[in-house]
Amino acid sequence: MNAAKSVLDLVDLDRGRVHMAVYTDRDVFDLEMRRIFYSTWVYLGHASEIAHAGDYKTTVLGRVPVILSRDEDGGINALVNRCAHRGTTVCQRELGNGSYFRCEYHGWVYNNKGELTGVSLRRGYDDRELDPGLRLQRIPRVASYRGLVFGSANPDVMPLPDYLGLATSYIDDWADQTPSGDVALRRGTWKFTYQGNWKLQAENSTEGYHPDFLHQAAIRVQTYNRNRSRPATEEKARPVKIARFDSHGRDLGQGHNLVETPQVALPLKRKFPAEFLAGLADAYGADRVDRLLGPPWRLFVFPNLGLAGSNVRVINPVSADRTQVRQYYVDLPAAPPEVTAFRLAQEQGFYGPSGYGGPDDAEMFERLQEGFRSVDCDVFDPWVLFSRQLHSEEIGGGGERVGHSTSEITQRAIYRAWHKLMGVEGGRA
Amino acid sequence: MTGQTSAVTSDTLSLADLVQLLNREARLLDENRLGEWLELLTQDVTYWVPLDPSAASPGEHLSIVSEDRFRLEARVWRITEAGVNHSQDPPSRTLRVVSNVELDVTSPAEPVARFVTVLYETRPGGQRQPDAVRTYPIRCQYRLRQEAGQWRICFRKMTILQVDSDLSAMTFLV
Repeated sequence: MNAAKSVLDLVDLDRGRVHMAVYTDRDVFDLEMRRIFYSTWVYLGHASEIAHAGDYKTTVLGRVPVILSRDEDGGINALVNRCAHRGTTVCQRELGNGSYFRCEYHGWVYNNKGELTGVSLRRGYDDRELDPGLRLQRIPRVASYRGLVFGSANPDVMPLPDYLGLATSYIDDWADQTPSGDVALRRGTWKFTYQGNWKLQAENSTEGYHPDFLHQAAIRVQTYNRNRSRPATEEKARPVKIARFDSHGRDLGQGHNLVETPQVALPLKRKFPAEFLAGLADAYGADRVDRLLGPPWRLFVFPNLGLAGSNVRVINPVSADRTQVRQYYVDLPAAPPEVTAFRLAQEQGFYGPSGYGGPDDAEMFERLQEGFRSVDCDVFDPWVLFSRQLHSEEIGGGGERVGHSTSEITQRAIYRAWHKLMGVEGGRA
Repeated sequence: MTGQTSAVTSDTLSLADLVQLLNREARLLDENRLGEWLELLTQDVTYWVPLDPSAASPGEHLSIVSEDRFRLEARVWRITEAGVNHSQDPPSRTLRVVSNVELDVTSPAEPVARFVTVLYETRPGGQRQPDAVRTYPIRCQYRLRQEAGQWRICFRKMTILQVDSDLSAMTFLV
């Protein structure tokens, strides 16, 4: 893949298909870093992770190591975790609190705004030898929406609210899950790395076609448990068929997309006590309560954020065939203990290394990447299909494309954005 | 009291009996004899694989597994009978080494066992790339109780050494 034009030919939107090279080719991956991860907005963290002055977390923007810090003025700083001297990382912990970051190699010190406050044996430098502008480099743009902190390496990137577009109203629902509007990323993070391309997890996060099939084991176990808890005289429960639900997939534009499965949120809704529901109605209006509980959807914010009621999933590309995933539990500090216990049990029942669902998804990502090795020989058909219900897409109330949740509209949403961004020369729109 | 096994009555768990029980448990799990393995657990067993190594009890924090017997039976059913288990196709082969066993009989009716299990796990090849052997060193804490005339496990906590790193699927029984 040497010319930009040939890269764009890898995504055939008219026929709803994608060339396997988008998952395997190193040059495509490098171009994705420049034209997607280093030119648009990328999710970095949540305000609750750095709630207090001095708090910090480490993460990545694309492949760039980043410190997200809360300074003593309450500001959020996104800094490249790289000493201005030789390039050593200056912060090692995943989460912590401190006013200074110190490079342990030669002892240079920075405050949590990234300013260089101390150079060891400074008198040994003359003025021409140290640039006065040396500091931990800032990510050029940082902005938050409802506690979600995004960064961009592109100084000319569009304003964040414009970028999020139709996704903002769903983020509002997510942030308003409690009467006080508090959500916190705490009580546990799943971490795994799979041998596969980052887009495989992106496509899967909001895909409503696979659950009845890939997650059959989870569905069967649920049915098995229900039947064991019932008196023998009662009618046997039958496995649910998610595909039969009246549910939708939406292409929200700019790669953002959503799958709604309201029925899946029902068991959780029943757990909330009446006073909690009354509190939500008081705070946000009775008509919004049904949208806030659960909430009954899963949102993908292109290119690296999956958002659901009880988890925030972050996709970090490592190489064309290697991806790191971080999935943070979303705690509702105002929720009563029985609701928290139920949400934790649901989250760990499906996700995590021993969950009934997540490991099967990761297994598929690795099988996909194995299958893509067929692209090595050009005798074989190189296309991956996302054509399901391509020709029956409708237009929703916000002007967005809408289909059934089992259509592949949500995957096409990703590739529509991919195609647009990958076509921008230089990667800086 | 550790190691003082010579003068104990049959109502007191001896170190030798404990080691025998732990080795047998490891073998039943490695041989996928999960129905027999369930027999080693009490009816009110708590099976806990914490995600946060500093957590004092399950329930406040996500756990890799935190299950009672009802849930655990479903987990065994999933592995042995559900008929679909993609992340176990092909199934894992495991080998457990049990060591550093300490027995605390301060409460004779509910003695505490502290020991180390090194769990080796691999999934044989086929279409997949050759698989490495993954190693899970696990610090184990059990409580045991007599139920129906036998010493059985009523609390089973398994703290995996690399629990705060990226973990592969552990859909076999830890």
